[in-house]
Amino acid sequence: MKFIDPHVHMSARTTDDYEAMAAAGVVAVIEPAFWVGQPRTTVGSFRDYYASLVGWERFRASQFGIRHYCTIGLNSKEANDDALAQQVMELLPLFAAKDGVVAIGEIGFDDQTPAEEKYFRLQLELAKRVALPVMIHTPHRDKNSGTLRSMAMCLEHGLRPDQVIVDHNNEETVQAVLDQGFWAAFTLYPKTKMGSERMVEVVRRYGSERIIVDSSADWGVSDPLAVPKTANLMLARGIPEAHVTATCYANAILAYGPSGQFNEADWSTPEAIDQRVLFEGNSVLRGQQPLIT
Amino acid sequence: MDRHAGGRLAVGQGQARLTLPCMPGPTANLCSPDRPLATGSAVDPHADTWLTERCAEVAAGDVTALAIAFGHAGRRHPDSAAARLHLVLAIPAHDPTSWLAVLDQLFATAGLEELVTLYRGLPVYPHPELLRERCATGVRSTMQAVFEAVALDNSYPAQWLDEGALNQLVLKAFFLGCDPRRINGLRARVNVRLGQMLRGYVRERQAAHRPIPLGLDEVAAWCESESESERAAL
Repeated sequence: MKFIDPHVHMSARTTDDYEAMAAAGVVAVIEPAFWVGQPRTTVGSFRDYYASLVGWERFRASQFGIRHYCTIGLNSKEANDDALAQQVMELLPLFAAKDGVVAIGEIGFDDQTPAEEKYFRLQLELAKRVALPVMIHTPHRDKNSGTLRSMAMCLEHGLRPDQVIVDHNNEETVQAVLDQGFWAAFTLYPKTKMGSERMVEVVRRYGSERIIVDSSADWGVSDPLAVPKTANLMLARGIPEAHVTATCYANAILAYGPSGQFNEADWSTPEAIDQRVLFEGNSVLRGQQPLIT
Repeated sequence: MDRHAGGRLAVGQGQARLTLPCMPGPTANLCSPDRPLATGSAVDPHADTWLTERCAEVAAGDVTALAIAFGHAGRRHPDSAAARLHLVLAIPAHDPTSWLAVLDQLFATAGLEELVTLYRGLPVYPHPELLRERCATGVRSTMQAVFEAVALDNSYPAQWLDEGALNQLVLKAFFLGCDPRRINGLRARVNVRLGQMLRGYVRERQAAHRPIPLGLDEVAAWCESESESERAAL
């Protein structure tokens, strides 16, 4: 089976992860712009981070046979540094318009402060202007109301529900998200948020329409193989294969395809892997024999 | 015409053809009729309309429009490099400081292909006197495509770089195996110090039993004849 992990912070992962993901059938990943574990203090840090998402990381993934896409946005945590956030907003259009950027995200709420709301709204307007879908990060605290508020704001700014992927759902939020016609994505963490067992039951109950599974693996304890592992668990628990394909592969294409930057042809006719190739003079190898396919 | 008001579109021989607005003075070589900077690859009136509209927004000071159009040029216009240069030329240039800040932001966020386009455009931007450090940065790039975009077939370095920076460009071009005949205006800028640097490089190559780069002797000889003519003038 082929899989897409449409939310995974690959910059924080190792080449072993890329190899394991490719071996497990992951053909494409989407790396949402997020924070990096500690707050950035200058706009240049954001610029270099975004540049790596559209540059080096895409190249690194290609060296292991995986297509890498990204979303561009100012995350809610760092939106609370107003002076810095204003400077970051000036950068966003420059990166949002680059090839391989499939959405504005992940944006939304953390503490649900006025500053978070301000930059959330500004970025919803940017999404309309660059004609990109939106990836919403729903808050960990006061999740239900934060989710409802995020969806209401998207509608208020004239976005259609099918242009918005609401991520980090759980059993408490999924019904409202699906009822309103938004995409409902689930982040599968080994210990917190959702686990694979619970995900199986969500698909058993709600089916696969507009439901997306992702790993959100990052620099914390997380699992970059969460999508294929959950797919296998679903199959073992008797979920029909069509539901597994939809939630772990096809729905991501429907959700992010309207960007014009996320096309199945990109990975169904993949370029050969050639680890002799350099990116701006740099290689992923440290003396190893280059893999060439 | 107002050279900051955006690109000029001309249609000829069944092709949408883009030519950069002609610059007065020494940069005119880049946009002479026999050597347009770039041409459209196919008839695409929608693409030209798109570009004309975006250039108008940029000329009105809309930096968000510039940012988005600069990125989207690759998917909206058959000749993305020419389209991007039209957009850059549409940036309001009456205030040199803010003009340079906008241009610097484009450079700082550009991908490889975009960087090559931006550096190729150096000779046709307004305020060339403000771009010496930008040019030198391109010369120092570890990306060969960027170095070549600055150093080869580009009239900016010989016109604007000081002797030290230009000498570094020439020496690096030989290191990278570039054809020195593609360094525009080199003949007029050769100097004694460059001759010494090139002869030193020749000795290194000979000591290592390595071949001498093509054209190096010729350029070194230019430098030495320059030195003789300086002595004769004394």
